Amino acid sequence: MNCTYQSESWEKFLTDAEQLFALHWEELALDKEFIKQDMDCERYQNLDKLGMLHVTTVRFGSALVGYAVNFLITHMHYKSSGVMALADMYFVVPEFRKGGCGIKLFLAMEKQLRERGVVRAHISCKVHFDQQEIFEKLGWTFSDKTFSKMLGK
Amino acid sequence: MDSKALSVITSALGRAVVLPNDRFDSFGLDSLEFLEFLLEVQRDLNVAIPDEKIDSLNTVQDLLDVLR
Repeated sequence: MNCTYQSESWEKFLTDAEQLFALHWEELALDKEFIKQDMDCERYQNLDKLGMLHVTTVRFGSALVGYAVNFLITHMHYKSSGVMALADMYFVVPEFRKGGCGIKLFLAMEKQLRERGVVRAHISCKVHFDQQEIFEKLGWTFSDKTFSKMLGK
Repeated sequence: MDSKALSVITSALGRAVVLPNDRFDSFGLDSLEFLEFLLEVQRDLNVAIPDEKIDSLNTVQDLLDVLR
């Protein structure tokens, strides 16, 4: 059996995604002692209804094994330039990280975003899980550095 | 083309023998290695694999079919 790559509604995705969210958070989140995983699923659902969310999934049979979620916005600095995608999260379960599954996920995501009329996409990666080489080889331009700082607690 | 392509694929995978039915996920390549492998094959054979074909590449035979 092979993995398949498709777009799905948030509602369908969420049915299977919650256990992956926990794995995702465990592997990649920062400042876990202060910031706990607590997905605002209702808000995601509302964004999906407004056409402001794009979910790309990887399934092995019916099992969800990966995803990439993007926010679709008309950028406030460039309102006449068209829809832009801001990657919210992406993840592939470790057992499926061989054989190009992640590459196929990003390519499927890119194709689907183009089909939805997205003119530019932004994606980032954690410093401790660096994907820069992959993105550059897939034609993405390294354009920003992001910093974070805990201010509360 | 197939025998040359299979030879290039075998070399790019760093293997002594690769069979058409071998699955790419059996070679243990991570995403970057898989991407570099595809780039090496394209460079060595002077061909371009369209992005939309990549999600169908599960076995060596799939790649041979795309390279034909």
